[in-house]
Amino acid sequence: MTADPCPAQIRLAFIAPSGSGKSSALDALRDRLATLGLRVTSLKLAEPLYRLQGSFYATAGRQIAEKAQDQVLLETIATQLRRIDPAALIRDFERRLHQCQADVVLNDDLRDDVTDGPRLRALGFRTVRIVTAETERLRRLTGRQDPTVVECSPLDRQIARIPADFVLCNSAGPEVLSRQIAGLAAHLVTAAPSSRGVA
Amino acid sequence: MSGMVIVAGPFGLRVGEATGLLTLIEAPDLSPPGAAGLCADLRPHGFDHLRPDLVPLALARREGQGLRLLALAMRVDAHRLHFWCPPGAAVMVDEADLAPRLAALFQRHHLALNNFECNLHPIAQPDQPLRCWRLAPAAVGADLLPALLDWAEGGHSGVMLWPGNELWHLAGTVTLMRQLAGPDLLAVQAGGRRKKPAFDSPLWTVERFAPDARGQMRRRAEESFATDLQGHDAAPEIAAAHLTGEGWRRLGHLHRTTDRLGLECLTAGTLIEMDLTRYHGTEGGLAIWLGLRATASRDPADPGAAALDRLAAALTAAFPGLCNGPPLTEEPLMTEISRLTHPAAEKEPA
Repeated sequence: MTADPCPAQIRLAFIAPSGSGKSSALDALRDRLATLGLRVTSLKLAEPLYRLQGSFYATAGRQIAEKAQDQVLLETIATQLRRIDPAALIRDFERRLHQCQADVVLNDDLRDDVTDGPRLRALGFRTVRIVTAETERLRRLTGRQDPTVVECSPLDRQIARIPADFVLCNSAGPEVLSRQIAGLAAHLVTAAPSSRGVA
Repeated sequence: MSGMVIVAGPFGLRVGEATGLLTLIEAPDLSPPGAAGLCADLRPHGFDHLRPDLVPLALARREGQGLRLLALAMRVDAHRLHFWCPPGAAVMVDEADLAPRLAALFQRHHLALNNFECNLHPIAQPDQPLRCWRLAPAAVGADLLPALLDWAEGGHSGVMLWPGNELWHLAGTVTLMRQLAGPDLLAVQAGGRRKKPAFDSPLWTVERFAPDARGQMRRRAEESFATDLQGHDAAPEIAAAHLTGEGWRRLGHLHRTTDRLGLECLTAGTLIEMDLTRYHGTEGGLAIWLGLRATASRDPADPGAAALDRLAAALTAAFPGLCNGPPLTEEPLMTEISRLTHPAAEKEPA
């Protein structure tokens, strides 16, 4: 593994079962940090999986939107890829991370607690767990119109085992979440190493 | 002369089986009970507490030609009697009328007198009065706890050790968290389990410390009985988020041990917990707190604050003599504890 070219970078991984509002929380934090003058980018562990998903659909003569999730297919590809090489996804991710010059890197698709999770922590990622009432999570999941849906994935148990540095509660609506996001952003900026310039 | 009289007779009178004669025994050297009660050992007055036909049933005082009932026997142990005066029970009676009047009082107040361990009126959280002091570790030796027990047993400031709840020892690991959108602190600790054939769910206790108008940190505790946390055995932050509906930042783990004295105020019926708590940080730090919290009362109209303040004043005055150390320093409970998790963990937002 090469030396980290951006040791002062703020790195956060959002973890939660599907439908908990990870993407919404990530977007809200990105917007908040951007108003504080920080350059923010998102990196997905699953980027290779989406590429392969596209190939499957193309081979089948079907179309799928770039960010759409055929969850059954994505999980199947991930499972087989890990069978071949458990570190395949995290190696690809680390390569892309080292090319990233942003002040903040956000990730929202960490699910593996054995290989990916420990390596992300070693790379300086702190985890933000999103907690949502189960009824609300399932309501959001069915309303998202994904091609296929896995309501209770066995991967959720892995996610539960990943230790979290922060927790956000997303059961009470956008205003409550917004206050939590503001507090998180303020802490990240205050606690960040001073070697990185912040507006 | 105090005019104090011990009213003794068959135990059956307490439970509606009024038979036999009552015996009045003059006890001039017996101090009158406080407004709420008295804990006494009457064996020096010739009593065998458990002799069924001559159980001390009430304390009274001679006033003129009659008797003023002052307290009724609530708890009868071999070595100790707990007398309590329910509201409205301090009545004047004629000696000739004593047995039926006493039986009627026991019947009227039977719920409180027969259910002395559970017929209590909880003081609702977060209104539980709370006072706390930080102790220098050097001032806390192995003899402080026995000294506190002796002090409490001595009846200072109108309290006594709460019979049946005199001493607890609690130990566990707490995960400490700081509120993302405010100043509150959270201590999350694993508890028992809810287990049936269909589910096996961990229970978590969440204690929230928030400042009040006086700058004191008020404590509110909640257990996750009504929240399904199955599968979340190792994730205290999930319990924290579900039970509070808010976001938190994990500060770290502390090992906490508490020696808890149960106290009962004899002037008001207030039940107070005195906690001597040690917080051990993961990097070797130690913080020690002494706290008083009013949790319940035998009197439904008692909010607990007055009794707590009286006890706090008495404890503050007595403490240097108990440990041969410096006086108590009152301080918000969690100021120092959060820094135990990591010296640099606590940076307040700009």
